Amino acid sequence: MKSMKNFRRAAGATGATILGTCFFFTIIGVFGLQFAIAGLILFVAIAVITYSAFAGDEVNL
Amino acid sequence: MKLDPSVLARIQFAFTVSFHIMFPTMSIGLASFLAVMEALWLKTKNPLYLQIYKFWLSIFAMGFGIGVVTGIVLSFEFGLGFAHFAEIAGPAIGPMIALEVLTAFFLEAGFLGIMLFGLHRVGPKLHFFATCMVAIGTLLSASWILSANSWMQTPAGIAIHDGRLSVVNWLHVIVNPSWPYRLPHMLTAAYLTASFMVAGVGAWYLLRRKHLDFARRSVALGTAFATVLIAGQVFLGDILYGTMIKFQPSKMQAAEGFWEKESQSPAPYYWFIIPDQKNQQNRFALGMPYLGSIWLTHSLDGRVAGLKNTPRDRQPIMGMVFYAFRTMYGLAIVMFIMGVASLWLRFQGRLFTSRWFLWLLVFMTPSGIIATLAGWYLAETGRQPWVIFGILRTADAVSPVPAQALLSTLIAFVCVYSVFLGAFLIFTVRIIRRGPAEAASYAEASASLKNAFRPHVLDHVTRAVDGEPALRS
Repeated sequence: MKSMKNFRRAAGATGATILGTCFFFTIIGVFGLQFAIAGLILFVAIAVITYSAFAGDEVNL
Repeated sequence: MKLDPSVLARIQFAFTVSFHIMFPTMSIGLASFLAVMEALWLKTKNPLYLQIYKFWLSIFAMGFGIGVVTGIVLSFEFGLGFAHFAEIAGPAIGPMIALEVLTAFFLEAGFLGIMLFGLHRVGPKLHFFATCMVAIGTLLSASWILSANSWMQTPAGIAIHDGRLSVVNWLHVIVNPSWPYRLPHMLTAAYLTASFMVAGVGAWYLLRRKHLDFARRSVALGTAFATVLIAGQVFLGDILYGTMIKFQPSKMQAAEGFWEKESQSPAPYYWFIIPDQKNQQNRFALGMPYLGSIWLTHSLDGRVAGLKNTPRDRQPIMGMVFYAFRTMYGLAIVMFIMGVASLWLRFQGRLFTSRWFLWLLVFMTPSGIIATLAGWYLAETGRQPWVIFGILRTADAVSPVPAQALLSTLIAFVCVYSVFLGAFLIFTVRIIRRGPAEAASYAEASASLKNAFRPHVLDHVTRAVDGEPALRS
């Protein structure tokens, strides 16, 4: 059970790393200015949604 | 040993301006953060936001004070160390510095007192207005100074006749080619600085299991702001990079660590070099293959321009520019990683319990200041050997002042500023160790400015300080 949890965490962390790297390369303009602007808007939207929708942990601690 | 006045003048200005810029960076970021906190308090009536406001207000006040005092010194140093620069650049730079005083300083001076001491004396909305005015004042100040410095980087709107500079177009002087990109880059740096400070202090309390509500909200707010801001900063940085390649190619050539007119293809991205300026080559270079082409030319096989494209007598010192840029950019990458990690941990509900992340936040507390300093080193050392790019060399800008006078004032500055820094650090650490509990999480207001100085309002303050909830008048 614990190893399954660790596996999920490792897989999630790997996914987040890949996604973060893709966003970074897009935002610094590797794929052009239009993609950079789109990437920036998408990243900010994901950040705002994550921070507003997943606020429950503040209460649980 | 013979001392060189031009070297001493540069060391003195580098020292005083480096010391100075740390404090405006903090105060610009914290002023806007405080305005947001007070707005959230007024909107939600949640006392936690007021507690956060009060906690950071005292640190902001100290930083603001030191920033103003050390900023005034810089104006005098134009005369002390760089009289020829002041003489030549005065017609363009002088009015901008004067406008900074007339707009920003007056605005800040008018409302700072209300912001610091008026919470119990004026109505909450008027107090919020004062906080906003101080925040706007810091923005205006940054705007004028960035305009003046950007003009030195990319001069425009002037004509030179018989060695005399005259302004032909004020709009071009103020909105010079690099200013529209450097201003948002600097402001975002200041906001990032404040965000990591807030998150770092919150993380410290969480690790110590103290002031938990305050700590969680601080970490949540700090990381949320930092995540959004660092994405914007990376974007703005890339746009600024392209602008500086166009207007100041020598700076960016030095920043990338390549010497030859064109690098090999594909170009690596160097992280460590030992440059040999005399022989125009690197003694050692360590980089990641392909990454230079991908990041700098946005292609898999692009070549990067090297410093030999710039004549030797117009080259900046590569080592200083390269490592300043790597420090700033390296920290930006770490900040971006922290932002993505914070999103992932938030999504998993582990943002406040992952000790490794909280420790990282604590270590990153001063990261914004270090990155900003590195950014300014990049800007200033990369512009060399010019003080006004392409117009006036730094060596020709210094004052005819004896080296001994510059050395003695440099020693005096180091001594006085050490006291400033020591006092700031001691009091900041004390405030952090004391924690936010001391700050009452309620505010009493007299509702209007005319009541502000009436005795019963001042009585309220006394009682509130003693810990007794005060009555509304």
